[in-house]
Amino acid sequence: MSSLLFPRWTNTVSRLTAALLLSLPAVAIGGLMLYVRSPLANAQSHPVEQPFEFDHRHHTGDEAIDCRYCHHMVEESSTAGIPSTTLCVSCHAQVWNKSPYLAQLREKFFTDQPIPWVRVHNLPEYVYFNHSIHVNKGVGCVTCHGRVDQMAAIYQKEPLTMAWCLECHRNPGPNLRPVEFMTSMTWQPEKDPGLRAAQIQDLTAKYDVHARTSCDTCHR
Amino acid sequence: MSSDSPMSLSLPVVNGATAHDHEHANDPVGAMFDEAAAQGDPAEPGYGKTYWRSIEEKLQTPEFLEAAKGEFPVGADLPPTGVARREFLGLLGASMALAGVGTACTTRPKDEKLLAYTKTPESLAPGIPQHYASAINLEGYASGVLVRSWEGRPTKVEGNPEHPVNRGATGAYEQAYLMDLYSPHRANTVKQGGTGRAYRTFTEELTARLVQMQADGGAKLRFLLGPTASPLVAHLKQRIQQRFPNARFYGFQSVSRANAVEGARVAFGRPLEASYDFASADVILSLDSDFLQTGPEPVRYAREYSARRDPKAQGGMNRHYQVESHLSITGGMADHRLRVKSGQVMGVLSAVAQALGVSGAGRAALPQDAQAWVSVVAQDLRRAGQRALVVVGERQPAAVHALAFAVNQALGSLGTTVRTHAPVLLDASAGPDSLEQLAREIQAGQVDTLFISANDPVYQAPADVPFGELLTKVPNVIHTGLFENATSRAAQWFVPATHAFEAWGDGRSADGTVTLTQPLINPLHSGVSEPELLALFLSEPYRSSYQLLRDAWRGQTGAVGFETRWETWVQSGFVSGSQAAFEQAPVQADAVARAVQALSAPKAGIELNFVTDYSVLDGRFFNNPFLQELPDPISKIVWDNAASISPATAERLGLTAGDVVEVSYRGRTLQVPVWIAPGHADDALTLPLGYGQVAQFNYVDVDGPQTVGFNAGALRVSDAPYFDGGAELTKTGKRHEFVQTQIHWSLNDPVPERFKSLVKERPVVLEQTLPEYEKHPGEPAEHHRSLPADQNLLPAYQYAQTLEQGYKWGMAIDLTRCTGCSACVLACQTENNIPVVGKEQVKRGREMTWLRLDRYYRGEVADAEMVTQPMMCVHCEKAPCEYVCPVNATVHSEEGLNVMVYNRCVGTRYCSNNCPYKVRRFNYLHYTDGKTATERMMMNPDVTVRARGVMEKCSYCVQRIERARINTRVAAASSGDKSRGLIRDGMVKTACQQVCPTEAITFGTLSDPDARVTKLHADERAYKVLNDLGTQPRTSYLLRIKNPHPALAGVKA
Repeated sequence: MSSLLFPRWTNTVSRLTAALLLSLPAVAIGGLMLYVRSPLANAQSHPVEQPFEFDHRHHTGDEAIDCRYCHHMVEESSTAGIPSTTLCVSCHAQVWNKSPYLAQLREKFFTDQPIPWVRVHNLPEYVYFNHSIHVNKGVGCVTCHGRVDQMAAIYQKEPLTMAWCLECHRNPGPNLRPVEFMTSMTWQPEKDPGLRAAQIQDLTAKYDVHARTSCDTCHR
Repeated sequence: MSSDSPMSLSLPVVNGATAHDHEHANDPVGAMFDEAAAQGDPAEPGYGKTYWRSIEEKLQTPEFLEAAKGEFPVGADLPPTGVARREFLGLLGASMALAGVGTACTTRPKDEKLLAYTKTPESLAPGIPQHYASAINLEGYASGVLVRSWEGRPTKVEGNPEHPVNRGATGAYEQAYLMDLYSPHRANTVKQGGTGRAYRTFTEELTARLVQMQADGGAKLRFLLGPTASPLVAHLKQRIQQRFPNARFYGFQSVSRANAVEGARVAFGRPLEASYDFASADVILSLDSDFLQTGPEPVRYAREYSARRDPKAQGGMNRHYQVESHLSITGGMADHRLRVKSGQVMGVLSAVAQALGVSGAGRAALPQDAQAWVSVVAQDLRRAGQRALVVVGERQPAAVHALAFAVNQALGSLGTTVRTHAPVLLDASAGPDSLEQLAREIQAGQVDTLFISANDPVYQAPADVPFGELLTKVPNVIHTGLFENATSRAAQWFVPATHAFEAWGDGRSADGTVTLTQPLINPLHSGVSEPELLALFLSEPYRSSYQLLRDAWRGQTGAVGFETRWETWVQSGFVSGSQAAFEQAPVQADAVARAVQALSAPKAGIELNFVTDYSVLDGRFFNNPFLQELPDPISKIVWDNAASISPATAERLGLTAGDVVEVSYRGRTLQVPVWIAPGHADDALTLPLGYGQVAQFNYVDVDGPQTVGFNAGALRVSDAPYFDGGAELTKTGKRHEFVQTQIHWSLNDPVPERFKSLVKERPVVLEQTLPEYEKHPGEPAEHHRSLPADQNLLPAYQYAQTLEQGYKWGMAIDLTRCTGCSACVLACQTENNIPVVGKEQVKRGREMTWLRLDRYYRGEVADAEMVTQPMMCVHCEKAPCEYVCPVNATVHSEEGLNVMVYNRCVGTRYCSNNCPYKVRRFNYLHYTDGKTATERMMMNPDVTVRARGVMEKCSYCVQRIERARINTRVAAASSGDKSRGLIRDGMVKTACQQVCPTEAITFGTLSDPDARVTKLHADERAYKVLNDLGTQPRTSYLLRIKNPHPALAGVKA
């Protein structure tokens, strides 16, 4: 005999509700874990608006200016260096020197005011990253920064999480390239697996690569 | 319970009476203790209860036992009291930020701006620090330094390695002086009568006044300068005298070397300054001289002295006798120490002089028991002959200095270990009594305009010269200084001064070397340098300090080739070869005899001793929180000064430490808190100067102006500025609480009474006498060097065996060399961004310094000897802290560093509890919060600034290791020369090692057999502290060697 108060389908509803309630913590935790691993949480693929519409596509891509022309500290210092306004003007006093597009740049230059660039690749304060050791050991710009020559506005390509750093520090070989191709955006490793393995071995030996995983490598 | 039955996990209660006198049939714990006791060598020196850190510990008072029970002092983990405004605002901000979370879908932090230069300064490389040679003028003598600068911010002071006096080291003051640059309480406004004025108003008014003064040649113009040896100031002074021939220059220095110079004038007929050569001195008699810490060149003296403390030193180990009233750093290093009142020092010297046959030696007034001591000393000095050295402290009267020159001449050491040259200071005779003449002139209305660049004469003036009141009679007083003080408040005009790193200048080191002061930063607070202010009196068109300096030197050395010379000077920081030439003159015996005769006998009654303080000097560093919080090297008191008294005198007067007494002396009274100091002379009271001022400090519990300590200067009179008898003490019944770090972080837990007979105290500091060392080198250290491999059940990690395999970082600290000067503590503090926490926090045991100096007394309370042991993380290979961390925040690196990962730390403090060395420091509060913009500029960007709730400790300066590693590896990669990729010995220096004047600290890799640290680890003197725990520390200590005279073994003095 079916009850008037609780029709049969309520059984399904109550079971589903119970299952949902019981799984909620697991779903929540799982969701959060997915979230922190997602590009969303790591501020990845989020083009950052800058005070100037500086276009890397034009400078790096079209004009093929080497990264080090502007970020010239990269081979010797922890920081790659943000170019001084003088460096911008050294070219733009010759080209586009009347362009209204660059009026703001000229104003900053002549009033001796710094350009307030917005930082894109921002590591926490307790992490000490050093550019010089990476580029001198054959890690190219593109490996961490992505195809800058295709970015209208620079965004963070990689997650820059500790897990991501360690992935390479535990096995740096696949990310090595000859230092002469350090700034190349298009360099390709050997396709053939056998040749590739030999290439990795060569580069590791040649550059004496010993990626460290001790905490003090990055945390001081 | 039979012996093979399973033991209970809970400890059995041990009956005290039966614990050790029966066979432990059912007492496994007692058996363990007995076994432990049996394994040690009872005859081993250094064992037993010979060392103690405070009188309470020595006597094992109930208060001490209570305080030493826990890991932290009582109240260490109490939350801050009162309404914490900052915290409230912080929470408010946080809740608002939380409210905003819903609106953004990314956790991307707030945008950070990157501000590039418009034009990058030449030679500046972002991310790579630069070093500039400069100088700090301390008490008139230049200390040559190298300053590290990060993108224009000076962040660390090192000694200039090429400077003949510094040779890479500095003292504590130079380290702390950087804090003065960034202090948020520095004066920043030109003031007239307390209200802000434009600097231009000041210059215009002064210039107008000077025009009027020119009529009578500046008859009413006076200058009161601090001690200076600057050739530029001398040049300007001469120019000013040309314009105002009737103007007068005075000098003032609260504690000066005027007596020493006057003593030389008596002995040689002309004022000379003595320069000592401790490197070639075999026997040293120091009479009230603290040459290792105070005086014109303590860095050089400490280095040369300690080089001869090594038993393997060329020429053998020196022997050092010290005669003094209160235990000083130098006294703590001495092999034999005679404690006498300061007034009796003359008597001791006379006795020595008589024994050596010096004519006119005066009355040998010796305290009882000292006769035997003195005859041994005299004999030893005679044996050393021209390799002996008699040095007298600047507090002693001129006659004592004169007689000491006569004694040195009799020994033949005058011209070898004791040499003289013309005084380096412009006004070498300026002392605390030189204000009198100026005061008389002011009284007579002869002064109309007075320029004061001396630090704070109103506060420092002797009590019988009411200088502050007199200043009100001068219509136009101009004072300049880094901080506003009593003199600034009394002056009509106040002009903020520049810090040494803000303007060009020069000076001379104690040996006469001309040293240039090079600025590293533009004046932060619109300060004006002293040369620029003096140049105002010339009414010439404005010249910057740079132009003034260059013009003066061009004028002096000629324009030909000047630019080349200038570049060389600025680059090296000093003018090489500019040392003062030694002049030798015979001692005029009859003049010395007359001076000795004229010296009045010491007065009876309690003797007052006025001394400079190891923290604030004569008050000059009162505003410096680094130095205020630096524990006194002897008493370990912070944020305070204390009137020291001997234990016997304290007992006679019924005083205990902290009692406030009223001192009456020549009709003046002062209430001072008493501190009972082991090794202090009886019937004497030591009063450190420099305290009792009001200053602004902002720390967690302290906000606003406050007074620290008492002003001993209130009892000081012009005719006896350093010591005098005839004082009386009355107990007031009031109490004062001292805050000291002495019994914090003890390595020895008090042993419960019932285990006393079973447990031997662990030796932490070891000592050996030279004869013992020669017979059995380093015998006490043997048990403390290495353990059998099977003693530790944890698997051994295979560290690098050769340099090519990798690094194995280690440190060696030589206790024979360490004087306890504390420069390392401050060097560590500035290098590693360690905050100052304030008096209240230190009281709760929350001091943050990674490196502490443990001071152990030895022997009887009255005649205590002292050993200082620098103690910081020893980087155990089997580190007890690591096993207990639940979050892996402290782990080991493959090079043997015990690393601290701040971002993992959740603040359980288990590690600190489990650390046997007590070297971990916990951020109970957010000490680095609320720093002003200038204070933040001081931070070293290579080291994380820690937040609240994080544990921290010595990292072996891992940031320096990593920098050196990257530099060498990049150099190898870019040059293709793989051999350049290794960090060689000497390429990495820890901050404490680099600053150490005595080179007591050595750091390097133990995988390099040729490294100095490896050799020291293998030295027979090397031992590991608490080695029996099996922690296998990477820091070795080298036991202290003392060189006592065999004949004095039984002589009590």
